[in-house]
Amino acid sequence: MYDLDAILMGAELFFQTHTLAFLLVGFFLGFVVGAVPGFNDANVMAIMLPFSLALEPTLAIIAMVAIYSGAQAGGSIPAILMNMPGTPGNAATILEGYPLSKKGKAGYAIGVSLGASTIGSFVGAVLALSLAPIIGVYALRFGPVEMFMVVLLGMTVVSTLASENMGKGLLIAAFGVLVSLIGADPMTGFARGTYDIPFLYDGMPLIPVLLGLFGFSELLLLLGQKTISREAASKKMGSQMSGGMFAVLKHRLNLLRSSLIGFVVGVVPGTGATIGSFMAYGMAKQWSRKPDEFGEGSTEGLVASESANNATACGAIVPMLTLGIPGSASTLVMLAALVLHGVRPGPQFFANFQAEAYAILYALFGATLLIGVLGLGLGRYLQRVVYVPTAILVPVVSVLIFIGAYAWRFMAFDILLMVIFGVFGLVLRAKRYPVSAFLLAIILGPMLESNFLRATRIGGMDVFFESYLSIVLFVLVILSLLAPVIMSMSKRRMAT
Amino acid sequence: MQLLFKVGLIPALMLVLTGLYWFHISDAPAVAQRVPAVAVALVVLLAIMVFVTELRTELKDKGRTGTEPASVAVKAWVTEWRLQIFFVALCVLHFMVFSTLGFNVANMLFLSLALPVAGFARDSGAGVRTLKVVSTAFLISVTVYALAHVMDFNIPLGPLGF
Repeated sequence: MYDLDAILMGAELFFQTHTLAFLLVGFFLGFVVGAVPGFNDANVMAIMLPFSLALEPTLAIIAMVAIYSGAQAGGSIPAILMNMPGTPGNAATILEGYPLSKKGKAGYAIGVSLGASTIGSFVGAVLALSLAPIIGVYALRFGPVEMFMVVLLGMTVVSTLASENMGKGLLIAAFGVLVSLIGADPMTGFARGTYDIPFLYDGMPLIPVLLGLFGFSELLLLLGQKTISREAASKKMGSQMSGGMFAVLKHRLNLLRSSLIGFVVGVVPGTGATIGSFMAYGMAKQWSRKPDEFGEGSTEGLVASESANNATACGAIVPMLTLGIPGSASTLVMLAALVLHGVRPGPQFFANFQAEAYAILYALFGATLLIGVLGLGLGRYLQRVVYVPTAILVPVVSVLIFIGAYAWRFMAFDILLMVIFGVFGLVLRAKRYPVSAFLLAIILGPMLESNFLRATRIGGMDVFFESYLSIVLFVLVILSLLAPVIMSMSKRRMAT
Repeated sequence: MQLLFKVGLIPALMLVLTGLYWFHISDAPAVAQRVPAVAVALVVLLAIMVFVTELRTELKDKGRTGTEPASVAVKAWVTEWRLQIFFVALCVLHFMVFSTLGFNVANMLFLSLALPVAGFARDSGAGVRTLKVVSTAFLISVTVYALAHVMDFNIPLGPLGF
């Protein structure tokens, strides 16, 4: 299963000057683009796809891997500073990163994020390199039943994150599923809930919804404030960042658990960094000795979400290389790039292109190193945005958000949709409903439906209890629903 | 009435939107209704549950609820959120201009109006303020145009070609 010659040839291929140069450029591009809300990694990789055809296939994929890793790490910066996830995978980062930023600990939060990203990415890279030849075989066992259970688990874990009322979390998640099912039904073509608006026929576009719920609603809240942070600008941002990076090491178990969750979720095709980071965040909260600090700027929560989303990025590459199944939108673009280069990823990929496959996996390690080194340097400058006057920041970022919403499908309607979801997000926040549960339901709704229909078509409702894996996942769903109830009961007992 | 508005706004909004959704898919084939039907049932059930629990919590803490007439409460709400209301109106205006007069005009107009609303150059006199706002809006519009052009975003141009 492991060929030493191929491992060494892969290293030789990777440690070439031009390969390292493309890794560096790709990471820089990904990090900067990830730090701009609205321009996600998949967008940029898709734009770069025609240019990548001029490169060798391995070089093109290495550059894309670097963009992917850079964007996951860089995407945490606007999430922490402006409450806007740079990429969908950073959606969970805002839950703890932004409260820390508001407390004047932006530098610390970015340090924690970069430290957790580096370790999460490293763990993910080690697992990808050692398990890639084996894990792909097991991932094939995830049928529609298991996928349905994984999606359901992701949604219930996130819904229970609603700190004050689990009912609110479940309500907003159920409503989010309905919103996600607007558009043509994939089986019958019946336009559901579109009211003859042609722009909704393809379904609810994710980027305008995400930008509205997180970005635009936050901009509306910032109106009237002088700066994002009400705390005085700290002159010790550099030391804050270094302190944050080292603070991560105090959460070793959390780091390992979250990285493992992120990696495993990443390996499951079609799940992506959003589910991985939210699941790890939920687990961290449920295992934490200080769950009350979650939502108020908890280092534990930030460590969990950031290590998981970077590990997910590594995990998502495994099924793409071994099975030819993309684990996320970004790996879908990578898959397209390989196919355009005449390389067909799949079970035969490791047999035919072993050295190239290992070189791509080494790129994950290279990106890990860059997160720690280059990320720390870039983060020092990018974090200062938190002290830019909102009088200029809000209108300028609004225009960037308009472009981001428009550029997803080149439709002006998406700008209006973004504004509508922004106002809805503002109302939800004012009434203390968890916006994150709503967004995750919108992302996962179509996956939930398609897997449910496929599974029940095979064997009715009994099919959900026929495999051990499915039963284990079902038990986890039930536990995730019961955990907050049990925890509040035990708290009451302890109080009395 | 105020209390009902406070705790019932979101559940009621969701019930209305869910009702509209259900009405639209009532003629759909059974397979297209299967998952939405479960979600609709959950929304109805949870909306009622959330409303009742929130109402009970609020009634326990009667001292916190105001007793002023609804018109006064609405006026206070508009005063509190006036900046946001203006800003959202400007964003809708941007969408309308974007579709008809193009990307650059929409951005220039939006920024020229949004910058003063956000409090840009508030301390300057009227003349200087106008100059600052227009020049900043122009500079940002040009930068954003360059960015969109480089990234090939297929932006719509106005009838005059810019």
